[in-house]
Amino acid sequence: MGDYGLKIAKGININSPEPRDFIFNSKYGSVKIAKEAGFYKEVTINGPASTTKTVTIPHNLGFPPMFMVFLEATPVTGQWYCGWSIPGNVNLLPGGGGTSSDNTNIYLVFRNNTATAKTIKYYYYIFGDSG
Amino acid sequence: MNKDYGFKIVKQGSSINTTDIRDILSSSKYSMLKYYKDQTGSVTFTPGDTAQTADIQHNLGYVPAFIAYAKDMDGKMHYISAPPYPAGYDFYMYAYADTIKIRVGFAYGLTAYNYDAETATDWYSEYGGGATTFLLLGNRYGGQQHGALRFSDVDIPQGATITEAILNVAVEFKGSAGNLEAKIYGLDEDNTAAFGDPSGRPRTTAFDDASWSLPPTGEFSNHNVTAIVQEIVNRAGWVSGNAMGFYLLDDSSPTDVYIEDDYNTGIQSQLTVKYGSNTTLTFRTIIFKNKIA
Repeated sequence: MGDYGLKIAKGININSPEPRDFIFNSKYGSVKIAKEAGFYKEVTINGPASTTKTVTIPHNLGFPPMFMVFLEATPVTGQWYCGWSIPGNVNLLPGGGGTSSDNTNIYLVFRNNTATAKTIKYYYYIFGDSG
Repeated sequence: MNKDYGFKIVKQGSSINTTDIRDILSSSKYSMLKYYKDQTGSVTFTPGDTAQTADIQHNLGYVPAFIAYAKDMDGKMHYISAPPYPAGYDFYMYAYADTIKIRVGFAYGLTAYNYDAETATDWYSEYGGGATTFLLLGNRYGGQQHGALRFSDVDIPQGATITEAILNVAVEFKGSAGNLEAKIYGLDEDNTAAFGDPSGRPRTTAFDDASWSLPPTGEFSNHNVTAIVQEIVNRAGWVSGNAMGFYLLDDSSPTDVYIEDDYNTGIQSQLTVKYGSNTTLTFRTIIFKNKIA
């Protein structure tokens, strides 16, 4: 069977054995975006501190996928964090009853660290690769 | 007529018509995170630093998706998606994007880099045959008054190079105007015991000999005891977490020029120490063209 696929390299020998030399190489699977927010979403989490709210996002991929979430942890700062527990008014709780995915949905568990209700913006990517 | 078009490449052995997205290496049906730039950088902590940040400019005019990796104090590279929540943790890393930059930050939630600060746990004054509830130092009650301070749980590695050690003597009360004259010695022991009478304990060769221009009451008189602390931590038997003590000898202060620091009231004397060398932490950011906000 012959070698087949698509390779793109810029200024580098197309036969380079180094994966990092390629702009694109179909030999190496790409992290595919199966679903994304499209535009940032908003969620309101009431006080008091430690109050949580779960946002369920269906994906129906049939397996628990990798996903990535960005959030403006403190409203109106313009600072978007990628991650779980981070400095800010609101953070994402990590696994063990927190943020997770299964064969059907991803579950984003937001926790309010302040005494009063907070509305924060978030954006998600759900990838077509197993988590 | 609906036509399906595009390109699709699947894993070897998989059907080109597979419905499992995981079998697809690449497909025009699914967008990808589009690479914009990546950049490495570093920050340097000097002893005593509590935080450092570094910015990577992207100037995209919107908030992009990004990934950040950084080297922790343990020397391992970590993906900054799960920095520890500051409450209850000491050192943590974070990264955020805005419309012009990615900021990578490193911070101590509780302490600082190569830094130890302790509040006195024992006081001693020779006044009245020896008291352990206050430090009285200077010329008071018609004579010279000497005393001592002890700090437990001093977290400095054995043999560490001390870059700066400051003994902040609390001036809770003071007497007449004028400079207090005093010498400060360290108690030259591996792990100086709680005070009864420490006046007979061995003292360091190094000492501080200063004329104290006293601050207002409620503030500290600060003294550089770097050489003293270095001598103690250089002891073969010194272990991080041991107790360290200082003996303060009045050196013919003028009449009624004194200071007093009482146990468990008002401000308390402190010892702050910076040690060791700088450390540089590296990080890498990968910035995508994908817009999130």
